[in-house]
Formats: sequence, structure tokens, C-alpha cells
Amino acid sequence: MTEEQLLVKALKSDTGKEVAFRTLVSQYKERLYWQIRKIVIDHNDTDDVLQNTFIKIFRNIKSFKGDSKLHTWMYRIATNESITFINKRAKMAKVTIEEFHHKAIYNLESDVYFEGDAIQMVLQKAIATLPQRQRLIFSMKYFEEHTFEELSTILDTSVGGLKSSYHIAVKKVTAYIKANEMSLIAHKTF
Amino acid sequence: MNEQKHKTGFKVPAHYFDTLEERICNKIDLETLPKDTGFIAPDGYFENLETVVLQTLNFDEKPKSVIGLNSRKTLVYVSAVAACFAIIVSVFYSNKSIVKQIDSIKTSSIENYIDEGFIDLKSYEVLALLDDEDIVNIDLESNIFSEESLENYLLENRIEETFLIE
Repeated sequence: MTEEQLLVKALKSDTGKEVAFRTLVSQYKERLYWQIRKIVIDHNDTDDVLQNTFIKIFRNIKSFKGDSKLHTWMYRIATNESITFINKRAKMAKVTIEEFHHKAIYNLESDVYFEGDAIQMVLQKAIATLPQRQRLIFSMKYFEEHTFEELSTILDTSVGGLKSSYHIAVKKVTAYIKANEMSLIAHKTF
Repeated sequence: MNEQKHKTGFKVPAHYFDTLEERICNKIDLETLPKDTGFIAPDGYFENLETVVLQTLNFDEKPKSVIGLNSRKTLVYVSAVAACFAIIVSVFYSNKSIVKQIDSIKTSSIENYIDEGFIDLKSYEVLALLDDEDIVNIDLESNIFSEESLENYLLENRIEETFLIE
């Protein structure tokens, strides 16, 4: 039995599930945090979504059948929770999801928890121009070492569809950055 | 280049070579960009996260009972809703078709139908459809009632005097 299988077994048992859950949070807190942060952008929102994700994992662990890897299953929950959060917030603010995301990116300029340089800021703005699905695929593929096969399980999309979406996203991001190169040069000069 | 002697049978997707340069260039461009988002977490945020998450959970909570969708009670409810829906839809469409049929009947056909006595309309039912102006404008033929028949009617029916004075 692998370490992951032992952990799942302990999580499903009545005795020792608290210790097992603490271990699970310890092992995956950072990975899931960064996964959520890339989608919801703001730290405080990420914190809310992360806690909800772990609560959902705890409450649904008995339904985890082991068909996929535990971390893939958890990434899937984290991604769905993040999307639901963004959709709810956009609905509350009576704006589209794209408008909501744009606002979050432009707020980064004054965010104390963003220390990216000019090029990282432009990259985030370029990602913000993508439709939600492409943005998700691009962020997960570009900033993390996910394989297309893993992404296919997390996002419930075919590998072919993912590759095609990623290619389109790359094209749009590079086009945006090229169009904004002049402003970047000016920024570096002054 | 000489034509290949033996065909491999391999194929490439449509327009694969048309966009190859562009895809390679995009990949090279992308590699020059940072692989880090620039996001940071507050100092010490991850240190006590386990405790924060565990405080929100009740480890003694029992799993919620699952109500099966295939229970007999559910089936009865679903059937009742489906039956109501079917009735509403059928009434709506049947009314719609009646309206459609009436619209398509010629006015002359309706007149003939009434003239032939198929509809027994009472005088007050007809009057209800007319306003005061319509009633005044009714042009009764002057010789429709003979004086004799009028006298007989007045003798046989008791008419309030006030109506006669008016």
C-alpha cells in the first residue's frame, strides 16, 4: 500500500482521521493555495476558498474511490471551488466574470501581496484578456508542471481540447505582450 | 526531393505545417517570460493553517444520510409533477389551437351559423355586447309591429306606469 493509500484509509476511518487530516492539510496546503491564488488573485479570497476546499475534501473523502490520484482529486475540488467563488462574486457585483477578473488584476498594482515586476504585471494583464476556460488552462500549464493528461482529469476535458486551448491562449498572451513591449521598454528606461 | 519510395501511412493534421513557425516562435517568446506569478503570501500564513482549518471542522459529525433518488415516495412526487406539467401543456396548446381555428373561420360563416338558429342567443346577451350609442342607432323598421299587436302586448303584460310616462 502506498503512502497516499494509507493516508486515504486513515482519513476514512473513524479513529485517527483528525491526525490524518492534519497531515493532509500540511502536505497540500501550499500547492492548493497557489493553485487557487492563480484563479482568484486576491490573498484573502484565496484563504476563504482554500479553507472551503479543505472542508469539502474532509466531508467528501468517503466518496473518493481512488480512480485518480488523491492530489488530482483535490486539485479538481480546489479549481471548482475557485470558479464557483469567482462566478458568485461577479454575480453579486453585477458584472461579467471577465470584468471581475480584470478588476482583480488592476487591483494588483496596489496589492501588498504582489511583488511582481513590470513584465510579470503585463503577463498577468495578458492572462486577464483570455476567456475564463483558456485563462485556467494557461495558468495551470504555464506556471505549474501539470501534464496535459493530469489537466484533462482535473478540468474534465479531452487532452486534444486542452492542447488546442493552450495553443490559442499562448498566441493571445504573446500577441498582447508584443503589443505592450513599447510601454515596458519605456517603463524600464525611466 | 524525390517522391518517397515507400509510404509510411503517417498523416499530419490539416494546416499543421502552415502554423508550425508561428507556434515555435510563440513558444520561444513565452520562454523569455518569467515562470513566477509574483504573488506572495503573508509572513507565517502557512505555519498555523492546519490549526485554522481543523478548528472549523467537527470531527464527531456523522455523515449526512443520503436520500436515494429512486425511492417510491420520490417516484410518486416526480410522477405527480410530470402529470401536472403534461396537463398544463396540453391545456395551453389545445386552447391555442381553438383560438387559431376561430380566427380562421370567416365572419359570414359565423353569421350563417347564428341565422340558422344553432346558437340560442337571448336578447340581453346581445344587448350586453352593445353600448348605448349602438342601441340608439338601431334602426327598427317602423312597420315591424302592427298597432294591433302592440295593443295586445300592452294589455297582456302589466307595464309599470312610470315607464309609460317616460
